Amino acid sequence: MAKVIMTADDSASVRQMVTFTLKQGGYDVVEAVDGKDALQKLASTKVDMLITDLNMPNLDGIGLIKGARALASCKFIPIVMLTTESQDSKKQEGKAAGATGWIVKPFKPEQLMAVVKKVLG
Amino acid sequence: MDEVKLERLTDPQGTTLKVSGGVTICEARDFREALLAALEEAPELRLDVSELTGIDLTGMQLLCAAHQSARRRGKELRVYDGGNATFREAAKGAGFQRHSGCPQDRACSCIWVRGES
Amino acid sequence: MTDLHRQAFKEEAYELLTELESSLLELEERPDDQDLIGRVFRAMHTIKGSGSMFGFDDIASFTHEVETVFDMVRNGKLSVTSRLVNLTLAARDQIRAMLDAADSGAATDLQASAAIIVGLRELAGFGGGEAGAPERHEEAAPPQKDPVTYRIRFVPPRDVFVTGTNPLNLLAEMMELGTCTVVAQTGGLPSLEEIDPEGCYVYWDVILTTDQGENAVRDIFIFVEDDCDLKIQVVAEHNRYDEQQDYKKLGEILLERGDITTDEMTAVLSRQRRFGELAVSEGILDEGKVQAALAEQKHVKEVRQEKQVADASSSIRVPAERLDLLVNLVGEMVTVQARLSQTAAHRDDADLIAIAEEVERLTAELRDSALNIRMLPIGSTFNKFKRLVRDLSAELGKQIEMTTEGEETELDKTVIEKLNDPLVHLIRNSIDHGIELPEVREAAGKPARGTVHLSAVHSGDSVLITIADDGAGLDKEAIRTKGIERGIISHSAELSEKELFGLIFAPGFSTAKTVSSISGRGVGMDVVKRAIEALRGSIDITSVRGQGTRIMVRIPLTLAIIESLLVKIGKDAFMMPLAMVDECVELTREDVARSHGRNLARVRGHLVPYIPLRERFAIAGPPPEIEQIVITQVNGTRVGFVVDHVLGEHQTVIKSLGRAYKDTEGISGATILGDGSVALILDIPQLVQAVETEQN
Repeated sequence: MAKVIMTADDSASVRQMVTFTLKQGGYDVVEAVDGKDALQKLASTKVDMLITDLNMPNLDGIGLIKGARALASCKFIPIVMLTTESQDSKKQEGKAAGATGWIVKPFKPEQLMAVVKKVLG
Repeated sequence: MDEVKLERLTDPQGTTLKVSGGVTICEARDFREALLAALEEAPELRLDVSELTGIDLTGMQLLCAAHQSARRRGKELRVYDGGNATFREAAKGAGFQRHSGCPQDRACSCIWVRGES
Repeated sequence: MTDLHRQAFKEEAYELLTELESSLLELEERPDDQDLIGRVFRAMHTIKGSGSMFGFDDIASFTHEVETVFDMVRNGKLSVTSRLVNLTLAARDQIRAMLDAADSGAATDLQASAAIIVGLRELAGFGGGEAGAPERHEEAAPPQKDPVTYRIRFVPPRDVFVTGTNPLNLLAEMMELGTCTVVAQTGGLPSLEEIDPEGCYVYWDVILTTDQGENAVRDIFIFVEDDCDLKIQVVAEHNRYDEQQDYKKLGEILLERGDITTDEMTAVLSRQRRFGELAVSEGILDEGKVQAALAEQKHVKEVRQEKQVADASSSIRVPAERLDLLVNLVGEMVTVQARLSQTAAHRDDADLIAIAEEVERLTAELRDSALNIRMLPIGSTFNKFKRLVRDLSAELGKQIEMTTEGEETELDKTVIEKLNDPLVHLIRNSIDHGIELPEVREAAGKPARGTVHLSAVHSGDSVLITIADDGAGLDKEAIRTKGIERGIISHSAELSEKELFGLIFAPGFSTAKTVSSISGRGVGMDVVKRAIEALRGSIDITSVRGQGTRIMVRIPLTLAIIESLLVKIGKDAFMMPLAMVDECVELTREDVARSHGRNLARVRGHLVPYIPLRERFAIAGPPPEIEQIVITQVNGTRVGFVVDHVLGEHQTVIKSLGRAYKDTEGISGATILGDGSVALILDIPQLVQAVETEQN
């Protein structure tokens, strides 16, 4: 059974790239367009990992991470945030909210896969 | 990972707790309760992990903790793996394999001691 | 695939720009609307982030400027003005133009971009400067060649699981890097009644051998390094000079890890039982820590064995005596060959001469390859010093790094063996007296960690070994004062820097008669110098106060053969190492008479002292009318040796004198000449020293 990864990002092109890369790597992908959408989907779908952008409308990445960790099904799953180089303080904030790790934008598909493999085993 | 299944069998020799499927942190609380309950029952507890298909760090910690508790209560705990390669690989990968006992275990009854697995 | 994503980005960006335009227009109406400000910021942020992902670097860096300004607006550091809105609208149009141009190959108006950036920066209050481009990731360092064994202690926080981290994945990653031994430390596990099943109570000792470098190891822990306790130490480097068979003792490993104190160890060692067992039964250590240390021993031994098996396939081990025998035989062969050539020349027999020439060529090749077999890279010696530096610096509370260069430089095996003690002494000196304490170094504006650099390089028929430190350097005044105190120089002596530094090597100068923990006996630098000279080498010092000291040791490649000058006194033949010979001049009876028995010759206006060897060796018979002075240079001083005749240069295979003549003063060995007679090899430094001592 393939593992399921959720990608939450308000940028359609990033979502597309992440989904494409993960599917090629043999994972199933659930897409969410912002934090609110992601939390709603997480309540009904069990995922093995969450990859989230930080800057999103409605509910931002930090809010999503906190919300996800409060769900029993997401308490221990790896959560990776997408950050930009100018957001170093965000990394700390994200870690404090319960993120497992981060990927710095811009990233290549190989870098994404390396991090997924790292945290998912 | 497969759903975890905990079965308890009591026979004249003692109690057997058979753990099958995959033990992960999500089931850690249940697993601990089951181990505690099984320890209450008989002087000898047999843990059958031969049909385990996966075990994470929390699972291995609980096995160690159970062994410690058993000794404190003067009971015996034995792990039967039936040559389960998944279980042995997991123990090795986590660095749990031992050639002698653990710190609290001077009697060399450590559950991880067995031939080079 | 990339095109697909680029297309998706362009569509997205056009959409965002359309939205941005209306947001900006609304913002002009309601400049305090936080929601609108957030929307503008996010649009810029997305265009920047996604643009950089799909190769729109110009768009990304341009948008970055606009984003920065709106970040300030968002944080209340800047207010929305019509000028800001105008500039942002212009920026929006510019991004659109860049998007249009992106795949068509058309150029964008760079001046327009620059003008907008300047305008925005003025608004934000930080004008000028280059437009900032997003930082690039550093490329990973190329993997190093030689495998290194690391000792890693990884202590995850109790709540590691709630951040979704699985420590077992990190262990698995380490296993992928190379040969890995993992020991879990379970000493902190509570009983089943007390345990929090979702907490982490275990930590790990890992021994990893990898050629990927320390950064690759650290990268594994990148997400957890701030939260966990991580210690990475190098315990062994496995380069091709790694010949050690035995690894550290158990107690030593535990001491290094900080699992046991020196006092505890001494107490345990005073009893005669196996260390590990005893320490555990005494309750000083728990079993897990001993297991980890034992695992480290086993791991390193296995890695070394594997390497040796790999090395063995391309080489064979031969006892050194067999090689020595071979070299001796080749030496005799060279001698016989010389006789053959001489005889052939006398007979004037064309056939014989042809054969003799052929034998000469083959003998030369044979000699070279026989000597070559005894050559070893100096790297194994360097490796031993790394350990020495590590231990000594820890002992003295200094931070010292040793770097090496030229490990592959080859030297005769016997030379390498004899070099060990002098080099140890010199390195010890650098550490003891050269490198300052970390506080002192920092106060002097130097990095706290000092460096001792050891290098070896071929130079002609010798090898130059340099020991350079970046320590305090030599104190010329102190040396001078001490030289006067010890009566080595007079108050009025005017010495060049070179001569001054040379005083360090004078017998009786060194007061640092500390017992070295390596050699176990107190030695001064004069002993070092004599040891180097016994190898027919020389030693030089340069030093700059406050910057460091550099010691250069020059050693001939081999001890078996030397180029020498053949001289005669009466019927006896002697050899003088050519490397020390400067020139030859004549000595007439009148010259002797003029010097009034002071044994001084005037050579181009300079006075050169000489030693009449005929007297020195009590050789009977009168000297010829015109004698020869062979002028040698020993440590910068010129000394002449008076002989009857100079016969010419000669390649000499050195024979030792045998035990009975071993300590004969002034003679370092012998050789057999082409006619079968024996010539003695003069030990020039020793002769000079002996004469100096007698005069004092």
